[in-house]
Amino acid sequence: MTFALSDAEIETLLLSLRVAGTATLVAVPLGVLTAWVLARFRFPGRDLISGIVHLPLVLPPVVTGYALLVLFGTHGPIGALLKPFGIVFAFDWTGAALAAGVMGFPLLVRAARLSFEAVDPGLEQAAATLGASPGRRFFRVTLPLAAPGVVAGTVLAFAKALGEFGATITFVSNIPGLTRTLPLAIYTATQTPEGDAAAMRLVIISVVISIGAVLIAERVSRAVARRAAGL
Amino acid sequence: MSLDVDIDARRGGFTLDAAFQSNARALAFFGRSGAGKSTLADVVAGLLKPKRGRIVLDGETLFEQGKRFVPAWKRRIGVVFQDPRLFPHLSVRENLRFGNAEAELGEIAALLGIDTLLDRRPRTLSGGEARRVAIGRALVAKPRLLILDEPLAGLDGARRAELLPYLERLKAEGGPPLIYVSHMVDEVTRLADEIVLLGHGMTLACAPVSEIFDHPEAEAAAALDAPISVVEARVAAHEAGGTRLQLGDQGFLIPRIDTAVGAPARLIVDSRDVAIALSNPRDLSVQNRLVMRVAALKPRTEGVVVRLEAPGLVLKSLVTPAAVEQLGLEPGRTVVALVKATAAARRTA
Repeated sequence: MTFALSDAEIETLLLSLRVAGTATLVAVPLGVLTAWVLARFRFPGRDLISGIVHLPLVLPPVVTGYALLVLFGTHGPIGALLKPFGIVFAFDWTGAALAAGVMGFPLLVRAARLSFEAVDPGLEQAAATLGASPGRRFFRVTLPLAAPGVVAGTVLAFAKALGEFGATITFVSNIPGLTRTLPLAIYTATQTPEGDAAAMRLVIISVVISIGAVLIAERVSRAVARRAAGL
Repeated sequence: MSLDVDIDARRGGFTLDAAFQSNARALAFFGRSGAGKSTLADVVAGLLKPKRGRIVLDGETLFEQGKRFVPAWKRRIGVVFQDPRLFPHLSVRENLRFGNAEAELGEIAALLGIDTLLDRRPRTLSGGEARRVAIGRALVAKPRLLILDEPLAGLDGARRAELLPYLERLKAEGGPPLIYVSHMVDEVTRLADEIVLLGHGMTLACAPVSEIFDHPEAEAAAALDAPISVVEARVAAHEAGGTRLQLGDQGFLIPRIDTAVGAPARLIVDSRDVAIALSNPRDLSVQNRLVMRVAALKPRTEGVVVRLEAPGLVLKSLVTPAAVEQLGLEPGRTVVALVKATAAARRTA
């Protein structure tokens, strides 16, 4: 067993990073907006939205994957709507990214929302009396002060996306080079006779990436938290 | 500044019914805590939308029920809150420039004595420093009206004494028109020209500082144990024995102050420090003897408040019922009011 990665392993690794990265990049702006709206505004249907956002956290991942298949499949209501625009999720890496994003979304929203709720609305009022528009208040005051929670939520969502299995395999199946991310590849290897060594190599890759991500996230969030606290 | 307010507002379970009109350059919202001062300040600043009515500032309608609501960030009304509310993630310099990125900070920083703090973070500032930065931040944004909501609350006596002169200089040196929210007599009498008196969620009166303390609620709000008179005076001369003020057409000696001759000065006189004689007594140390007329007698638990008037001057004296009887005090009677030079607290305005 050599430490050099095979082409197949590199392909799996890059696919996983692309899926998790894309999922996180799309989920963060949406999640931050959702978290802020849930934290700052009272409106009818607020609890319903909060409930829907959190569903993937409590549902079996298979159920979430099946729901995505029904909604975003080629013949699903949303899938059929997007198809003319060239956006296809079914059995493609984009579908894996969608599944990963949906699964990570509640973790991101939860952490970010708590952070937004902790920002003193008095500071936003003070910014308003200094002539700051709502957009400027959000980007110059609210978001920087909530940044520690947003970063923590982003890390959680990325980690969840990297490890997502159940919803992905249900929604977009297990296609090598297309939807077979690291967890799916590990699962495949364990199902193959003599696949133990291959599985172990993929597990090591997973562990290394996860530890690296955690270390980087730790440093970033500490720096962001210090800045938000005015140290 | 011309400010015309007639609104109903609600916050939580608290309702405010406010109506007043003022052209004063420095206005105070005065009343005990819970009277609605801060709520009224938030309504003027645009931080709380009223349920009914209208607000007009210098001819511009800021709120008209069902028609118009100018949001706070478009009003150009600066607010210094009770807690300084500095942005913790920004330096003092960035805080000061928040409302005006291009601002030259030198003059304002020097005025407020914060020029050495510019690179610090808010959390490293003392309470007094943070308040001064908050005042500076509001000023840098060049507001057309500055609301100071109890900016000295929670500071100890020494810090308050240190900050009050900054606020006085601000008023004297051509700063923006002010609304000063407070329940402290010395603050409002030093900083305001007119006072809006609030009690139980209502505006009770809007009057010049010299008249507002005739209102029982003003006395209660200030937690005074005896009535006071606020007298508008002018510095007439500096003498060896002190400073002579002009009160109406009479002179009045107080311990020496630094205010220039001709400048206005505001005097607060405790009614317990004013004695009444029927004629000008001899062999008495009291320096200030003012010929006045008894205008009214008002009995209260701790004595009788005698309202004395002379041209351009009103003084209240708290005496015992026995004294009223002995001297035969009654409205219309001419008497001599005796005030010790050292008893009158000096306030410049």
